[in-house]
Amino acid sequence: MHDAISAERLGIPAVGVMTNRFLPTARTMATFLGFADYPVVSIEHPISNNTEAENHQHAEEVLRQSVRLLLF
Amino acid sequence: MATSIDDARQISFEVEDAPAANELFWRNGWTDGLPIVAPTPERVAEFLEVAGLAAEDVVGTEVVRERSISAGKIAINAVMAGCLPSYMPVLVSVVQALCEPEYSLHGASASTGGSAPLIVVNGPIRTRLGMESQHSAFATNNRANATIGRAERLILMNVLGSIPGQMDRSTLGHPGKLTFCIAEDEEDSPWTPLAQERGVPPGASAVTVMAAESLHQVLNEWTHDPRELLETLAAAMRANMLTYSIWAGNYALVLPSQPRQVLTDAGWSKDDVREYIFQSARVTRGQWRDVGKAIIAKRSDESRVYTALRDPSDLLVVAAGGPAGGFAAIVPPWYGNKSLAVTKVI
Amino acid sequence: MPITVLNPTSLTEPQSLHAARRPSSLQDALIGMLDNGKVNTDQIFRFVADGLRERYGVREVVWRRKHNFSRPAPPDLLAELRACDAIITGIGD
Repeated sequence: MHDAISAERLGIPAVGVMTNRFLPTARTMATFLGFADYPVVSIEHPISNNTEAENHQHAEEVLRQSVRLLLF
Repeated sequence: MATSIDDARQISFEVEDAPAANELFWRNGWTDGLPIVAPTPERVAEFLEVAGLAAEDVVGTEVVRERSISAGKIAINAVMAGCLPSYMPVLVSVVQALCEPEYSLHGASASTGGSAPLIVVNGPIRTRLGMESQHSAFATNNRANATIGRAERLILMNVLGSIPGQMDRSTLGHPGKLTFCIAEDEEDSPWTPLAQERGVPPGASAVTVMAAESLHQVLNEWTHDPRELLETLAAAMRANMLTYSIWAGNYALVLPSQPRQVLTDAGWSKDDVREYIFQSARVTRGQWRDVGKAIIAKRSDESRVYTALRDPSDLLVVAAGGPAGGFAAIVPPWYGNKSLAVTKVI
Repeated sequence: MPITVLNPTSLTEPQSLHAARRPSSLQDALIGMLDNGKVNTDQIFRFVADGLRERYGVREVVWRRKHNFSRPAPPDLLAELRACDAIITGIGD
């Protein structure tokens, strides 16, 4: 969250990727950094015990959402 | 290492660990002198989730200092105080109540009189949060009682700038400024709960806040006569009027089980208590002479009568305290009716 | 264990940030991926990088990994990604 917003401050379009369980924390942090509605990429929690197939699935979701958020 | 001037505007800090967070916050004047729990974004987010609020939602505004109190800042200070996320709704209501105009939060918190907002909690939330309404009611070892009161103080200091020596001009203050939160004993009392008397629907949870000085305890374990018992309390109120402030306003009367029983055995309701106290808790101006205030006594008609209460409804009667002991307490107002108690549904 | 803590006072007045200008396409773009080091981020990000190149015409993907996922990226690390047209960071879990 912090890193994506740091990049935005440098003028570089960025997205933060996180699992959905992280969303409330991210929202809080974004608000305190002055960017309450900062859009994020959210995938199913958890990822730590993923199989390779699950990593692929998550990657598809990250790709889809990221491209949408990075383009005008 | 950043100075506290630099730190003042910085939104977040990276620190080594929780003890380092505590040192940083202490150095920056953000604590009440006691150790705090590190307010990480994760912890703060939990509190906001429970209350269904966003960090930027404004819960209340103090109109004199033109400061808004956001849900996010309440949550940060609540984490610091050691609250659990489930306490957040109570704190939200406390802040809303404090920001009501009749509470006069600026004056009450800035004054040399050094008052603290007494919080009285009513309704099912007391049991849900496991609050203590009996043993050592004003100074429990109960987490909810202790940390809710503490969070309120941290909010006043950190969000409204009520810092001793700065905007808080308290000469002495009192220990209630550290924490001053009680829960009414609704289970062991046949009386109507305080909040319900003040308009909250039966069965709802609520907080009442009152700008208060330190409690005075009285002892009358000998009488079975309700009038005699209340006379002891009225005497404490008269003493407060003469030695502290003569002006009428909200007093709280806190009655534990033993003295309460003297009243309820005689069939006295809270209304009966209020009526008696209203009639009895009064002094004449000339009585100031008895307490070393002859100089102000003679400035006006010394036979003039002053009442502790403007009318009986000024008295907040609360059932709370342990099961044994003929002790009861009055809690005097900060300064007459410059601040009035406020009740808010949770 | 390093932690982030939030300022409890009302003196902080975060400026409302505006998002950086977005491009209309990722064709020939240089994309930075900032891996926070958490388990499976590297593999997921690798698959994302493949997809960016194969399906969106991205020219190059630059990958950097943080040493400490619980701290923001140090300025020198961000500086290495300064030339990127867009950055993907993560994965917080």
